[in-house]
Amino acid sequence: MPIQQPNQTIQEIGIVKSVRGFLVFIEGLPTIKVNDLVESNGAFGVVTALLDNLVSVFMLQEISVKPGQVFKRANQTLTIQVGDFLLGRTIDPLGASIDGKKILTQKGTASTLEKPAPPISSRQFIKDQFITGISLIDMLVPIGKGQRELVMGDARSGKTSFLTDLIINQKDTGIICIYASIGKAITDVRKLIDILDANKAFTHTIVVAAASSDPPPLIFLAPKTAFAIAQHFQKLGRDVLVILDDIGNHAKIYREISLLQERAPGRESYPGDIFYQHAHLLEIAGNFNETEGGGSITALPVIEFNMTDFTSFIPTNLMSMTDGHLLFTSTLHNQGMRPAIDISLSVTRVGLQTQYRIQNAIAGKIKSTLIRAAQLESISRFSTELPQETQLLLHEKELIEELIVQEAFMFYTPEAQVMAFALIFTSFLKDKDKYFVRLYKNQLLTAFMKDPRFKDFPELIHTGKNEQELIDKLEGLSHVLTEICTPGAKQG
Amino acid sequence: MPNDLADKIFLSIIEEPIPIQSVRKRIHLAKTWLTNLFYSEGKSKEENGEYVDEIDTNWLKNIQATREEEKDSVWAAITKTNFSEIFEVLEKKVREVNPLVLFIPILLPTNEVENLVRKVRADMGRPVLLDIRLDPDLIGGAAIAWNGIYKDYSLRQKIKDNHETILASFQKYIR
Repeated sequence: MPIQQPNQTIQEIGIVKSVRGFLVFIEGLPTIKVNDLVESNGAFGVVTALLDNLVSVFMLQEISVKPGQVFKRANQTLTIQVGDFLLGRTIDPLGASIDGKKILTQKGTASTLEKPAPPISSRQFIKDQFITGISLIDMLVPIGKGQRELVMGDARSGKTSFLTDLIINQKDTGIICIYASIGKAITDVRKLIDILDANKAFTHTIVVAAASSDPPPLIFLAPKTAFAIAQHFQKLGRDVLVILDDIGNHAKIYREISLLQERAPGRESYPGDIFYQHAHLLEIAGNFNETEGGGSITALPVIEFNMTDFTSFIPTNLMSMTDGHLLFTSTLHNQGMRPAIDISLSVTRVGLQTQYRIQNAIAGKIKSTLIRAAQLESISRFSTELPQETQLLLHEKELIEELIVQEAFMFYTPEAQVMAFALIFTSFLKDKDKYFVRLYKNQLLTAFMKDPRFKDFPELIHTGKNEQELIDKLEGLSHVLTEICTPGAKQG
Repeated sequence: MPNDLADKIFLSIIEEPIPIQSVRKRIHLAKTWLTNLFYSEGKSKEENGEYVDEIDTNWLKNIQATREEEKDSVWAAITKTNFSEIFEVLEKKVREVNPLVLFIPILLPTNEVENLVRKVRADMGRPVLLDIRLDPDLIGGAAIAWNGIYKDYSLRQKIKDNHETILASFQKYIR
């Protein structure tokens, strides 16, 4: 971070009185304020509290500080330079490049890391859907632009690959993705960057990474930096996606910092203001009106936990401050479900209002089918002869479960998704089994997106009032569907 | 009364024209001597001569003599019971003292330091403690810090202030 040292004979200094790890207590610095930077031998610290006679400073670099050491006021608050030059780059929470590419020297807009969230008057109703390109999400647990959706689940449940897909799928949507890697191994970040790069998705992405080996205060700042960058683009009218991976690490880091500061520990030893810290961060997200520059910030905080400890302190806090959650389970992941989201336990509080009427109706039918089938499934295990209606319901469930499985790096438009799910309720799939769906779903979805014979459907989905209209229209094209699902058939 | 006694001892130490580093050293010397006296049956260990200069050694000998000879002196009033509390207060006082920090580019001989302390005290009109720090980057002159405000009267600052003029004058000699 370039700091302009004032060329003046008078400046403020402080002398270190005591040191506790990365926490330094300094005497002096008479007019310093919280969040101002101090500097000693090229290392920076940020002022976190003003005590009676001392200033409490968190060191942002790994250096050895000794009592008696002199710190100078850096005449700068905690800011980073933001601008388009950050796209496709990996930076640390202080804005310095860590990707081995050219050093970032560009002067963009200086953005402070600590500023209040925009007020309610500058926000507007969330009305546009955030298109993930993943059928399960867009149809059954939709996310709106400006929504805060918690991504939670146990280890190895496919959260990271889902997030990677999400970023890759935004490459043609104009959405800027900011991925904050909070206290993760640097090799994990490297892997993510390589995947994004290989899929040409890094040009609309900024990675803010604070590795587990970095000083805790630096890791603590990572989500703040991500949001500061997001706010810059949002004020320019852009839609931004912020992924905080993972916020559980952030909570642990804040607990470490607070315990070192000798602040009273509360539940699970977290400090009393841990809820404030996270709510304060997440309230920056939202959909904004023209007075605030338009644009939106969609936030996806991620938390990993043990499924046996589902209702622990931090996950429940986060559930209460977000607009829903996606629950990933390793059990579903092991069963081959991609993404491994438990639909019955996932929630979206504002996403449904962003769907088209027909999309919403089809999604409702799908969910209702899944719920009714789940109830009948256990009974069906004890009976060999089931009523035809029950058999049909279980058959539909089987087809839906096959249809929502989506391999990595696949993108389907919402219209194609709606058509595919509407197909479940047509006679075309009545006599087909799940293996047929597995075999031809990609062909069908690709045809729905590209085949000119389906070009009228998006209009119907956008303006239609009744899902039956769509189902009937698909019925009328059974011969086309049969043609598409013929082995070796050419599309379009 | 250990507090009053500590106050008197502290005043007697800072009375002399020494910087805060020497005050700390003298308190440590006195504490070591008295610890040996009270807890090692008077068999005091030899002080490590590496960091104790002649002036400090003489000072120690002086207070040892004072304790022996002047029974009403502050040093004689220190006993095995009040010793620990007195030194706790003394160490706290040193920690809490607000010194005037003087940054100088070279190490000064002891007599120069004493002159400097006397001069500062005379100018300020009170027994202010001086924290003398070495900063070779200053090149010449000195910088002062008091209550967190740093004023630079060094040659480095003069060069910074006049760098354009200096560079322009050098330009004349470039062919």
